[in-house]
Amino acid sequence: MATSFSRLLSSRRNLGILSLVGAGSVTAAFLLHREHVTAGVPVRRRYPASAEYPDLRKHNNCMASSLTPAIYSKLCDKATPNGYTLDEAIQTGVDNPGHPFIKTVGMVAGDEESYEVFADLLDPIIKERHNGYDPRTMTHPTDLDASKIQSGQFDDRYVLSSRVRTGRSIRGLSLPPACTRAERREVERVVVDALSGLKGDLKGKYYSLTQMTEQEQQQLIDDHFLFDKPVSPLLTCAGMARDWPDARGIWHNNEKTFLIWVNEEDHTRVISMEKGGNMKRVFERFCRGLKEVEHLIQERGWEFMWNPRLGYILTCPSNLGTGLRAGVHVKLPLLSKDARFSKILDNLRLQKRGTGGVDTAAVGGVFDISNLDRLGQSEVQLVQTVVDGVNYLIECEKRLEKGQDIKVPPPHQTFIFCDRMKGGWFCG
Amino acid sequence: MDNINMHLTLKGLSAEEEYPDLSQHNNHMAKVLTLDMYRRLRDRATPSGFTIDGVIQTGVDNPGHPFIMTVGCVAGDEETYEVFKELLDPVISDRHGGYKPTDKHKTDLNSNNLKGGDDLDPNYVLSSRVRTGRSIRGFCLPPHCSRGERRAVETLSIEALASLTGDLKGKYYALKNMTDAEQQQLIDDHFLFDKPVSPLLLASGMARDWPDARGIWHNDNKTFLVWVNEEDHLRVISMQKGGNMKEVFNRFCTGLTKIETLFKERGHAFMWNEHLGYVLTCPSNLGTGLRAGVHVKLPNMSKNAKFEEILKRLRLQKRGTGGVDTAAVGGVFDISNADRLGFSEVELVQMVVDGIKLLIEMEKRLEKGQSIDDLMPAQK
Repeated sequence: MATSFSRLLSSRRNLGILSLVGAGSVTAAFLLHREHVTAGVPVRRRYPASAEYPDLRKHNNCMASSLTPAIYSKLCDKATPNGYTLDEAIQTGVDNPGHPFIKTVGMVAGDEESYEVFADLLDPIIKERHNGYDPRTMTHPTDLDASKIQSGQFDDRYVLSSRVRTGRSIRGLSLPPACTRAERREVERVVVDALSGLKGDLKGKYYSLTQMTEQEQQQLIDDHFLFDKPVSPLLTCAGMARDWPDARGIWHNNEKTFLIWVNEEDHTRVISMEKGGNMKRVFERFCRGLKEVEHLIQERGWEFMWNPRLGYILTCPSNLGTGLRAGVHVKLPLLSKDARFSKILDNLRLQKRGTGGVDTAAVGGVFDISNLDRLGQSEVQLVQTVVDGVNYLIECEKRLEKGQDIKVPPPHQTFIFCDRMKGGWFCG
Repeated sequence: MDNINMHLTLKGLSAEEEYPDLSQHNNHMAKVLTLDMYRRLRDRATPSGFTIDGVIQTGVDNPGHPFIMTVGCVAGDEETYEVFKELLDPVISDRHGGYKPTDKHKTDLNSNNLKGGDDLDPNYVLSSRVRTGRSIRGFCLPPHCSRGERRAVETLSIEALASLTGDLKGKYYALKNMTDAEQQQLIDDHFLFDKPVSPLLLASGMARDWPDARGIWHNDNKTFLVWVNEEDHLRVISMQKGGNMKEVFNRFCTGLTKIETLFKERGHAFMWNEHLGYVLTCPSNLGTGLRAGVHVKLPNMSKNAKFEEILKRLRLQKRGTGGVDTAAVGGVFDISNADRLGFSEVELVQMVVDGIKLLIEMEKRLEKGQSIDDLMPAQK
């Protein structure tokens, strides 16, 4: 932890911070003593914490489950060095009580330091959301070696397309809920500059949302690449749609198999995809592309937000660790009508969505099937889980076609997290 | 008071880098703001910490409409109008007919000064209504207030309103506590307000923590209604069926004055000054914050080519009966004063009363197939 912040101190932006010493007071002192994160700008408070504590009685989200008055009281006067506060972080969860069946997270990070300053609230949320993963004691494995994937080619008669996505944040710049226009534009500049260095099958072009022609826009819509201004109140209440469409855009390679969204819900969303069932090739391109982009930004003095306890840092705590969703569009008309379908998916650690993405319904027996988990297992492990699971589902479908019976598989391996305190690998 | 805006200075990023792209925008804020102005204003904050970015966010996020000019900025507290006057004075001038930073606004809530208004023809005027807003000094406004402040505004308001007597005696319904039956009754009475959906309001942060500390108070007669913590601290509405605008305005003035006294007794004043009158969240509602209007049947007038011009000269505006942004149905219009600042309450209600009388006269002429040319008003 100390190392990442000493890196911040040595970053070029420090010049602006040190110049504050003249302007004065407490703030400069806060910023110059940085062994560990301290609260940033003093927060105005006229009322005691008990008068400010949100009414969460009708709420069903992870934040509401974990935010006790005691924790609120402890954290409400704190701010990250960027000035991001608890009230801002939890606003989306206060404004969106949630659904009786679907438990949303209810909180976001405004910057990398949010995960430290508000750890008393975020750690239990992370634990609840990620199957008991305890950021205080455990280590998250990162593994982007695609060569380890076995049997990663699906039957094309069933799998229509394969896709892997993740997100990456640029260290030193605030996240979408909190960034200023200048920071957001800096993210765009850094990323677009790096992407222009990609070569070969990864060579591509950037389309800024503010500047694209009508023709370009239509093409991106036809390719299903264009993202819209968020309408979900989960996102808009967190402030992620401010200043739309400034500094937002889409980059994709000429072959349309590697795509990057800039400044949507995260600094970047990175997507590798293609028609058909060659998940291994999709993942191979994914890993290669990510490593290339990382290398290109490092050449320019930047890096991704990452640490050993949380893996890759993203806006929503649900996307920590790998931030990875690997999935396929697969035809399972018979299996999907079987009463055991949900249980099978559960045991395989997979989730189903309609082919329009999250919150849509399946059409014509075609489902979007992907991994449930994000944190505590590596990219290779999660993609292998999807590969094994989808192969199993296709086997079931084939058996049902022949009138044969299918079996519910045993639950996938219980979570084996690396526990630093206990000194090794233990079941979660 | 000139507090330094800590956050933006901390990041060491320049005004150029932060300046919003307003090239597609058509609102008052976008027409006035320049890079140099932004550069000066971004280093400032009100004592409660409201910044220029907070002021303009709604205008950045909502470029506007080619035909309808929105304001594009809001106040987070009373001091916003002082600390950011370099932006807000020209916006106020553009929105309020050239109102100058040196102008004084006259407040007149003496309903005896209204001439007539008790006899608007009920065959045409279906209902009469007067609304305004009030802010409680010392508390931040809806875009910026904390939950604690919003709750304090609610508590104070409930206490003050509970002291009203006679025909103003009434009851408070907190949005988060109301029963299904109460909710249905309020909907049937057309009193219940919803969580804002307009992006103009959402982008400024006014809907945070909904429905916490929001509620509706009304008197037993259902002729005097107060909204708590919707777009302003208080919205005060007097209304009744028919055309007796005088009675509506009378109750409006009496009720407001009583409420103000009750707040003062508890050590609280309304935000007011002699330049801007009553201070509200949106610069468009400064001065009187008053909209006096009627639902009136004008099917023939509405088809007349001169309708818009007549309204303009009378300093009136039309809306559909669903309120702002709705269309008229069955030739029934919501007609109200266009101005808010630079005219007193009595003057504005007088314009409505006189204007509606004239419009009804014109409607009757058109019904008989007669001309209205001799009735054309001069520009007020």
